Parts: sequence; structure tokens; C-alpha cells
Amino acid sequence: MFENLLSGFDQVFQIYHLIGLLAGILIGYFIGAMPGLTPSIGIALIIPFTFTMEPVMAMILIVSLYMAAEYGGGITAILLNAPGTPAAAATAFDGFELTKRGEAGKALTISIVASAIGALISSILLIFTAVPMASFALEFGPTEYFALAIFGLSLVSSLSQESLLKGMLSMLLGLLIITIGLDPVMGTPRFVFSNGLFEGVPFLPALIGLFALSEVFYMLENVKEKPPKEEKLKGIGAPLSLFKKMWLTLLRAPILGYVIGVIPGAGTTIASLVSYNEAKRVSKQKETFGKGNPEGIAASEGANNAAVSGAFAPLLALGIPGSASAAIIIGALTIQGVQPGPLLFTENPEIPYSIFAALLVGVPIMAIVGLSGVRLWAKVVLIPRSILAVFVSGICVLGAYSYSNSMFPVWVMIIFGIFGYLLRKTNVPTTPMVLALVLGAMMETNFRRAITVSGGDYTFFFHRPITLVLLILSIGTLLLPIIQRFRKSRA
Amino acid sequence: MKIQKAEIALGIFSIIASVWFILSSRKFPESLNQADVGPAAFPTIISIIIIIFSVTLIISSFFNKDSEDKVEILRIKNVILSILLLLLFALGIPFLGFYVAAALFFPIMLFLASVTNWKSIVATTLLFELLAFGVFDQLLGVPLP
Amino acid sequence: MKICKRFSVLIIFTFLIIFSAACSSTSSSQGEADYPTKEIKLIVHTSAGGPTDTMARKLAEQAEPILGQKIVIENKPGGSGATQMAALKAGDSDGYTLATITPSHVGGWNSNLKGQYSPDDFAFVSRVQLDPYIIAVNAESEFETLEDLVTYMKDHPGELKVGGYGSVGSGHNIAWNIFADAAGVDAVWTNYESTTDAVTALLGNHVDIANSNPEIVKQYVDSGKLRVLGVLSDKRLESMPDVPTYEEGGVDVSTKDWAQFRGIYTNADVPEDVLDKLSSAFSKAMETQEFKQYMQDAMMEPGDMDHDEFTEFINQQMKVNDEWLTKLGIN
Repeated sequence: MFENLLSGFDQVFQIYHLIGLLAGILIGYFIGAMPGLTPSIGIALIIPFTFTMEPVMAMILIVSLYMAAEYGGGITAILLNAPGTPAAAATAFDGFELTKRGEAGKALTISIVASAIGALISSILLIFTAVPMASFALEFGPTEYFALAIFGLSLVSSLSQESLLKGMLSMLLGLLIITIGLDPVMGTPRFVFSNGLFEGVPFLPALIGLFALSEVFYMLENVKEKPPKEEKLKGIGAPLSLFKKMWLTLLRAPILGYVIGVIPGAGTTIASLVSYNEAKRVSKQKETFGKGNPEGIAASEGANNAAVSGAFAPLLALGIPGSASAAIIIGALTIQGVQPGPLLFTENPEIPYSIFAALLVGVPIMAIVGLSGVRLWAKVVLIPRSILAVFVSGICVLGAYSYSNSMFPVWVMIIFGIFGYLLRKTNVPTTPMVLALVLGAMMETNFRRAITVSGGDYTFFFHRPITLVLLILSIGTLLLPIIQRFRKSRA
Repeated sequence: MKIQKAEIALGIFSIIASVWFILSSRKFPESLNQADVGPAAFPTIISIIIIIFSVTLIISSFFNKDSEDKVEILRIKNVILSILLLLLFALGIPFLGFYVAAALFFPIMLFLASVTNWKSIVATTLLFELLAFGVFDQLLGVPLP
Repeated sequence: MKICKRFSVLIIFTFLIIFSAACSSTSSSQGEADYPTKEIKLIVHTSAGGPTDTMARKLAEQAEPILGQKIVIENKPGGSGATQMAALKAGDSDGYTLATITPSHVGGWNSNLKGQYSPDDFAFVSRVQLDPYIIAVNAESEFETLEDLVTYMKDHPGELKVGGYGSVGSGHNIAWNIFADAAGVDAVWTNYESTTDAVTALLGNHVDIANSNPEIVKQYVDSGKLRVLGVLSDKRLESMPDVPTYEEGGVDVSTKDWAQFRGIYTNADVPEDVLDKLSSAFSKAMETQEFKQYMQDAMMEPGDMDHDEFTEFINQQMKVNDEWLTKLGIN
């Protein structure tokens, strides 16, 4: 194994492979930072260029792009409350609050450090556990996915800051919205009042609307407000003592992210939300989360980058895609004449081991690119509110358009933008709605799949250990903040 | 506007939406498989829970009359105009093309956002057009209309 | 004065644009005889990297020297082909805008795209390949042959779970239903978001059977994790010589009934001789060594049809699809 790994490093350290690595990181960095362009869209856009390359080069380029894009999503989440990728939504909770306080540089530094640590730890985990973790992924059948979706949805109670009632309402509206489109089992159209809706409400444009465009309207209200004073950044941008204080989160986030990333279909978004919730749960200052606690950024960013490595475990060991991006990577490998599957390690060992090496070598390069960008990005905050607001609204339109090269997602984005703005004005949190949009289809499809498979036996859900554990965890996650709040109000 | 009014409005909106979803889902076909709950089950259950929560929200905001929270929209005229302008921008893209529509939208929008310095208006518009062309059209191959 | 000058520049500029547009449109309409005179666009309805995209790229690569023009691939995913159809409709009817077609197009025209598009709006250039449907089980399963499976299912109707891509009425689901109908058996269809997902579920023993394609299960068969019981094909596959066809397994179904095909289509009103030219060029491209090698690697079956045969085939598939959608209670 180490021999193979060394030859993987040998491959990556060839000069044109290093250039490919750097190019992938730079492209991924910008694609991630553009709201509307997800890592999977970025990979799909780059794939036609990889057809003429040899397989190792193609993989190095794609892997580095994937990893950097997952980091890049945090930049605009922190600066503009416009998550560049869905997984960066949790980064925005505390990141944007820090920006409002004039500490954008600090927030950006934390996000790159946490991302780098997340990528590093998870890559090492991947090298040693890819094969056993892949068989863990196979354990996930319909009931497990249903329970996972329920567990994800139970995070609503800790994500609704002020009123649980409003948070729940926001989540339920999201669940209702996600039923629009073709029925996942029968294929009959449901609530399709416009032709574009057959595929359902496109998630990413909705997310851009709910977060970024609604923020534009807020900015337009306060155009007179002076931008914050330029922040003095010392060293890398944040004191080392800060990282020492949150070492546990920095360590926990990658492990959580990796494990969740392994489960096919669970994805980076759930990973970062679960990790955020976990950091908040164990913290002694729960009330500071969502109000600019640096640990929130570290939890989210560390986990979503780790989920990237996680998604590679089932891909490399079994040929099963762990995420939408991984599915496209399988396609890219197939075109190269390499068939990912259980025989990959024996038939084409150079592919998995150069992916491992690319992940490890990519981390420091990504960190350097990220850290050197901090000062530049932090200047975005100094742009007058009025200009920034209009510019971001333009980018929202551009990003939504490029989602499927058509106007439909643009309309979805604008409608969700107005809707999100009105909700936020009524103190209704929009994050639970995002949670529902991510998990709603997974919950319904897998519930119905499970009930079909079991022949209508509802006790089926309690016979399976992983399902049972997840369901119990969900009840705990849902009730714990409520109990704590109740205790506090009595004390 | 007091926050209670906004809450009641939200509650009523949610109830109307849920009722529409329940009514529409009654037309869905029955499930072919005996065990499956069918296409109508989930939307109906979620709608019913939404109605329960909405009613609770409306009632609780009646009891919570002394809350001082208010829903205020500063510069409300500008915000509404901006929303309308954004809709016009989106409407205009298929007819005028992206670049022309953006060239019209940006200056007016910037002016509404009280940028009066024409230099920054021109600079911002140009920068955006450049970004659209350079990054999206050329680099990423997004065919802008 | 200054304004006047700018204005005149603008007018000249506008004229130039109109003029050049007019020029290019005349050149394309007169080019029928010596078609093709310029770059050809091939619009793929999936993202880059999928099997349809690969087919388009390999075919384009081989057809370029034969046609003597570049063929540019453009990916327009979304709406199960609807996005691509809109893009194709927006293109020309002179043979410079082509697109890929699969059973999802047929399914769409019969269901959710009905009224928007129909086969009459298009012309069918060439069928390129068949991706055979297969029936796979987990290697730990007790079923060794197709007969075993059919016998068990006859004794235990509605007990086994079949995983496959798509909801009721999808290409894979109809393929399964045609098989089940001919064999006289009954099982529970469990839909997945992709064939890979269904195969993953089979690997994890969450379903008993998967309706799949050869390429996706190949690695798992070789590593002894899965077993293929039968293939919907007219003859045994070169890559899986031990696997009987459905017919050999005692179930009377052939590719004439239903097949997962991939081909090329374009807008209706394309001149007949352009269609002929394209059809024969693609046919030649399919005969090249490189293309044959790709077909073998990807475990696809040759399915070459010229535009007459392909049009007839599409019409027949439309009929079968419609019948099944009615039978299954979708339409």
C-alpha cells in the first residue's frame, strides 16, 4: 500500500501534474465562490477538457477542483450571506454575522484553516478506511435513508433561533414546496402549474433567492449605512490562540464530515449542518452560535471539505458515487476507459493512489491560495452597500441562469428572494426551509420505498439497528433544545 | 406594522396554500402498489400539520399583544421599485439579450440605491458586463442570451 | 454634432449586423447539395460524462473526417430532454443542428411533454446503439438461472422486490413489466434515481433483483458480488457469453418489443438528401475500428438503423410506450 502511495506521490509531483493540480484548485476556488455554480456543475464544465488528457491528469484536475470548490463556497457565504455552494449555508450563519461586525478577514481565515484541516484529516482517513467504510455505505437501505432524513430535519429545533414555532413552519413550507414536481414513485405530476416544474423546484436557485437576494433587499434598505472600518489583519488573519481554543471542533468536524460524506446521497450539506449542530450542542456558549461565533464557521467548513474525501470512499472501493459530483467523476473515468468498481484497486491502482496523493498535496496549496486571498476578499466589505447590493443582485441572476442555461431558475430565484425577504421580516428563519428542500425528497422517496419493500409493515423501521439509532438521535436532537429553553425560562 | 399583524398574515397565507395543496392532491391517482401510501399522502399530511401550526401561530400572536417588535421596511418605495425593476430585468433578458438588459438595469438600479456619481455607475455596470462575458460566457461556456 | 456622429456609427453598425446575418442565412439555405459546408452542432440531453454523452463524442470523433466538418458537442441537460428539445427547435432545419435521442424522449412525448412536442416535430437520423436490459441478482442469492427465478416468482407472487431506474412508466420499468408479463410473474417495483443506485441497493441486499445494463454491473460480476441471469437481446452478449437471452431463458421477449436505444435526431423539414448523407456518414463512422472498440469496452450492442428504419422504430416504440403507460395507469 505504501509503495503504491509513494508512486502516487511520484505521479503528482511531476511538473505538469502539479500545474494541473494548481489549475484545478484555482478554477474550483472561483467556481465555488460563484453562487449558482456548484462543485458538480464545475466538474461537468471541466470534463470535456479532460477527454484528451491521460486518466491520472484528468483525475488530479477534477479532484483538486472538487475540493477547492467546496472551500470556495464559504467565501461568499461569509462576505455576502450568499453561499456559493449549498454546503456553505451553515458557514453563513456565523460568518456573515462576523462580517457585519467588521471581522470578515478573521472569518475568512478561520474558514480556510478549518477547510484545510478538514481536507487533511479526512484524506488520511480515506487512505486507511476507504474499503471498510464503503461496506458501511452499502448498509444504507431505504429505512436508513429515511431515518437519516428525519435526523437531518430534527436539526430544525437548534437552527430556529428565536421561535421554534416559526422555525417549524418554515421547515414545513419547505417540505410542501419539495413535493412539487413528478411523483418520485408513480411519476404522476404533482402541483405542476408551470412546465418548468416537472423536475421540481430547482434547489440551488431557491437557495440563492432565500439567502443572497433577500440579503440584497436588506442592503437596499440600509444603503446609507457606512461600510465597516477596514480591519487590521495580523499574521494569517486570526490569532493562533483562537484555533487552540476550538481544537476539539477542528478535529470533530472532519471526522463527522467524512463519515456522513461516505453515505451515498447524504452529501456535504447534511455534513456541515450536522457538524454545526454538534459544535453548538457541546459548546458552553450556545447562545453565541448564529451571532458570530468563529466555532460555527470551523464546524461547517471543516465538515463540508471532509465530506469530499468521504464521497471518494464508496467511489474508489465499489464504484458507487457518494455525491452528485462523484457520479460525474465516475462518468469521467468511464470515458477514460477506466471502470470504477471493486476491481479498481487491483486493475488500475494508479488511479486511487494518485487521487489520494492529489488530495494530500492539494491541501497545502489550497491553504496558501486561500490565505493569500483573505486580504483581497476582505476588501469586498469596504465597497459601498448600494453598489454591492446591485452587483450581488446581478450575480444572483447570472448564477441562477447558468444553473440550467434557461430563464426558469431565474424566476424561481427571484420569487424565493422576495418570499425569503418577507419571511425574514417576520422573524421567520429561512434555514429550516433550506433544510427541508435538501432533505424533503429523500425523506418521502425512502419512506415510500421502505414501505413498498416491507409490504406495508410499519414496524419494519424498528428492526434495523442503524435506523433505530438514527431515529432515537432525531428525537433527542429535536427535544434537547426545547427542554433546555424550558429549563432556562423556569430558572 | 406590528409584528403580530405580519404573523397573522403569514398564518393566513400558509393556511390558504395548504388548503390549495390538499385540494389539488385529491385528484392524484391511487397507488398501484397496495403497500405504498401514494402520491397524495405526504402533501396532505404536511399541509394538515402546517394548518395546525399556522392556527397556533395566529392564536399565540393574539395573546402576545404587548410585544413591542415591529416589522419596518426602511425606504419601502425604493425596495418595492427595486423588486419591480429586477422583475423587468428578468423579463427583458430573453428579448434584449443579457448584456443589453443588464446595461439598462444596472444604472437605474444603482440610481435607485442612491448612487449618484455617474462614474461609479458606469464602472459598476462595465465591471458586471465584463464578469458576465469573461467568466461566465468565455471561461465557463454558459451561453448567455 | 458629437451625438450625431455617434448615432451614425450606431446605424452603420446595425446595418452591418443585419447584413452579415442575412449573408449567413443565405449561405446555409443554398448549401443543400454540398452539405455540410460548416460546423455541425450535436446537442446532448445529459451532462458530460454519461453514456449518451460518451456515445455522442465517440460518434462525432469518427464522423468528422467522413463529413469533412467539425462536429461540436453541446450539453443541455434538464427536463428529461425538454431543455435539449427546446434548444434543437431553436436551431436550423438544414442539418447543422442535431441532437441525441433515447427512450426518455419517447416517454416524454407520451406523457409530460404531450402537447408541447411530438415525433412529428422531428426527423430521426440514425439509431446508433442498444444498451441491453439485463436482470441481475446478488451472488449470495439462491437463484442461479432465469428459470429458477421465474419458478420461484410464480410460487410467490408479489414477494420479490425489483430495483430499477425511474418511476412506474420509465424505460427500465416498462422493460421489467414486459418481462414479467411474458413470464407471467409479479414483483414489487422499487424505483431508484439511477441505475447505479439500484445496483448499489442490490449490492446491499435491499432489493432482490435489479433491472440494469451490462456496463454498470460488469465489475461486480467479475469480482463475484453479483450474478446476471438474463439479457434482453436477440443474441448473447460477447462480454457475457454465459448469460442467456430472455428468449433462451424461456421468456418470449425480444428487442423488437422494447430496447434501450441511443440515436441521433434533428428537426423535421430537413431535406431528404441531407438526411441520407448524415445517415450514411454515421453508419460509416460506426464501422470504424475505434468506434467498434469503444462499443466493446462500453458493452453496448450495435444498433445501426438508417433514417427510414429508425423512424419506423420510433413510431413503434411510441405505440408500445403508450400502451404500457395506459396499462400502468399513468396516462
